[in-house]
Amino acid sequence: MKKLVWVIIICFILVVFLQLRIDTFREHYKPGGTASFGYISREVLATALMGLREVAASLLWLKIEDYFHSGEHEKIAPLIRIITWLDPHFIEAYSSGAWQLAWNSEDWRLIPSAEEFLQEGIKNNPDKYELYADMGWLYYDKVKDYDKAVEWYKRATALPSPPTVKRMLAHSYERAGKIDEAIKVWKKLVEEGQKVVEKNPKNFEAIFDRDVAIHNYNLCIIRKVDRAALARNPKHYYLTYQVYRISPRILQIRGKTNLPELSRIHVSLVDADIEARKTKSLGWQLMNLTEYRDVWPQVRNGEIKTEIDLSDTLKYPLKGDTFILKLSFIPQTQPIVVQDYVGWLGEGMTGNDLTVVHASPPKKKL
Amino acid sequence: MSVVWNIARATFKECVQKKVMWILFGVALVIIGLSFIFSFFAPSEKLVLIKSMGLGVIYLFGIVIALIVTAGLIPTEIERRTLHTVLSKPVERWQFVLGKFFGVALVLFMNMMIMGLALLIVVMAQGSVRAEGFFKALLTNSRILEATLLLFFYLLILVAFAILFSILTTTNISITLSAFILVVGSLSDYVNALINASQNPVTQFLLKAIHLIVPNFGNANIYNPVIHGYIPAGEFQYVLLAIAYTVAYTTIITVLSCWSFAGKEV
Repeated sequence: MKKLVWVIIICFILVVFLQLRIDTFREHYKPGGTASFGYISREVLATALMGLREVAASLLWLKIEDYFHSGEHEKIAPLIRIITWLDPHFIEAYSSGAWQLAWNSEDWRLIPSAEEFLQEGIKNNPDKYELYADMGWLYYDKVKDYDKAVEWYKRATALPSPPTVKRMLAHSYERAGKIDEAIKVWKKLVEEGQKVVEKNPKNFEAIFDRDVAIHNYNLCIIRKVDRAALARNPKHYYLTYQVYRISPRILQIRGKTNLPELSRIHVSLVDADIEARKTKSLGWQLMNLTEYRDVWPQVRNGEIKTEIDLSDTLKYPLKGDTFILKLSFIPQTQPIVVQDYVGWLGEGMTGNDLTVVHASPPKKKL
Repeated sequence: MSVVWNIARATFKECVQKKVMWILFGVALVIIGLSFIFSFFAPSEKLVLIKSMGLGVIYLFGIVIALIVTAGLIPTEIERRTLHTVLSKPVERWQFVLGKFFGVALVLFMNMMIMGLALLIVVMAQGSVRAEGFFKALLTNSRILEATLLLFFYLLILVAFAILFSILTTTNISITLSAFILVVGSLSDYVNALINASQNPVTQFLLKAIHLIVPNFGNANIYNPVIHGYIPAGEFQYVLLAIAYTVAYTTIITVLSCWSFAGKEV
């Protein structure tokens, strides 16, 4: 009898000791992560799922496909929020969620949320290159901040990653005007590709990767020489325009310019205090902000003509007192055929016309 | 020890004759086998879904099989009066309890490892072999068996509780109480998380005590690293500690069962 009591006591002490030791390891095994979802405790729900959280996440992912194909895009982002909350290692969910927010929603106010969402994914999956690359693409393609794109692609390429990611690093360097850095990356890709091809001459994917690198390496060298010549003889460019209010919520911009054909003019109309009010929030609270941006208007036959359509009152509530209308010509974001005239950073343009900005505070509510 | 082994073998034979266990086992295998219907997912998502669903099915069916097989064992022996025949032979009561426990453990081990192997085959057949080659795929996905083994050890705690409750109460109450222990034990991680949220030292102490006393079934959950194919730091040590925990906990409950059965009027 006494022996049994001693066995129980010893085993109990062992259980306590082992559980304390196990607790120090548990953090690595909990999907946990950094997500939070309103007032619902994720532990309670996760426990209710009794270890089936990845199943739930995968089934919800299936639902997203339905919403996507039925065009119910507004339902996708919250669902993706729940999926990453259930399974913070679901990389595709972070990628798709950020894409949904930044691109598919066509709402510029959601870009900080997309960035924050990817940040959360990176925090939960620091050793996966995909989300660093997604962040790079967000800055490259959407925000068009190429220095930041370089920063993120550098972090992605520091991890095991395919040549496509390294190619994007080189493209980002080039767009950022850091041509020597871009050439270095292309050269390295050529050398690496050559080694792989030498090892396996029938690896057509490697041959393709190497040839792409050679092509871009040569292009960069040619452009470096050509565009250096542009800087020695910069040209004066102008852009004049007028804004017409053709209906209560539609503005029309018509202008004349000698900018090269197919030049893109960035048009934005935002609350004057937008930068102060915009917060990075995963709650996706849009705070009645108005942020209209259009990066597509092109110069055709020396003219620019575009409309700012603010008819969508949810997207453009126009609740502020003052708005800023801005037209910009940003050399870094121009198509290559235009950059061949103006250079990477506008080195082929003269002084103050590098960025043409017209701040037009209407002083009254639209 | 041969007495315990003989009772364990007899229990194993008795259990494998139960139709309900085979039906459950068959359903689990069918669900695992049919996971290829998720082939319309992109390859990486498909494997995540198959693995997560498969491990979930193994765990759920493992629980149901453990409870159904175990809870009725001793009460049935008492009702049929076969227990008297066994105990009239030179068999100690503790040997009888231990034999029953090991018999169920064998059945459970067989069921769970076959389910684990089935899942491994499905995962490898659904693309892992094509993507990584047979041996690398086998090595990577063999962690499915590691996760299954850990689940098996934690279900042994449930089996031990089911035996204890079946000695003290009826079959139905035994199943209910064991399921209750399972739910409370699955909340243990949550209780631990609450400790950090609490400001009151008394509450903190009580929560910590609950966390340490209640069997923590959450320790068995290593799904996420297995599903996503990453190996957390110190995994080998963790698995050993987690298994040692189940051995210690099961010993406590089994000793209590032997003790209770020794004093029970049959």
